[in-house]
Amino acid sequence: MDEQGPRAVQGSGLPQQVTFPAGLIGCEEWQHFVLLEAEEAGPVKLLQCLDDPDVGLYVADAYLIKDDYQLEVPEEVLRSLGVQDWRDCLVLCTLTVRENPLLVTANLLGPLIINRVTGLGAQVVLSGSGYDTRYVVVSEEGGER
Amino acid sequence: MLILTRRLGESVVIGDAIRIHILGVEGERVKLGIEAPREVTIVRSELLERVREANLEAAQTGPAKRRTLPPVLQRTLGAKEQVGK
Repeated sequence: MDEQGPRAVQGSGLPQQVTFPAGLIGCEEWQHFVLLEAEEAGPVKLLQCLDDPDVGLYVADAYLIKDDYQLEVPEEVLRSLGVQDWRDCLVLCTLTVRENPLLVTANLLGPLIINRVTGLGAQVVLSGSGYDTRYVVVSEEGGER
Repeated sequence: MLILTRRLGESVVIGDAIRIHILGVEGERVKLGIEAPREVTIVRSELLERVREANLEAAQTGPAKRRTLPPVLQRTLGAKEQVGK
């Protein structure tokens, strides 16, 4: 990785390596990731897949995207991630970034739950939440939300 | 695929722990009642499909396909981060 490339997140409480034992939903082969700073440091991070170098996902904390975000994660999922304390978990949403016109959307329906202690993660579907996979974060016409 | 015909009020048992009841039939809509252990995830398949599509879309618009992240994005979420502190 050259000096211009992404840097590993240091000292921010984020795991560098994250393993999704079941992969992502519909993309079960994407299991091993590393969480990095994006090229411009900030709240948007880069979740780079180690199983497929072409797969890198921009992610951000769900509560930054929507401050009243609510989710219920099944006990079984938390147990499978070895969660002792919910505060150890990160809740990240993947972002889709389109340009001309700029439109950034977040997947609030299928967040990524990551246990910072064990480095284990799972993607869950929030059935019945009413959340969408294309929540608008930034759009050129509408400005920020 | 196993195909069964059931009537209203009948049910199907899958394994030891899962039972699916036909609770209502109205035109093209079928109302199911599902008894299953808590650890069994039950989700409408179209929701899984939407999440799968979102994952592929995110990967297609991710860093492998672009040079830079729009600066406004880090600024917008960064401003919220400051407010939250």
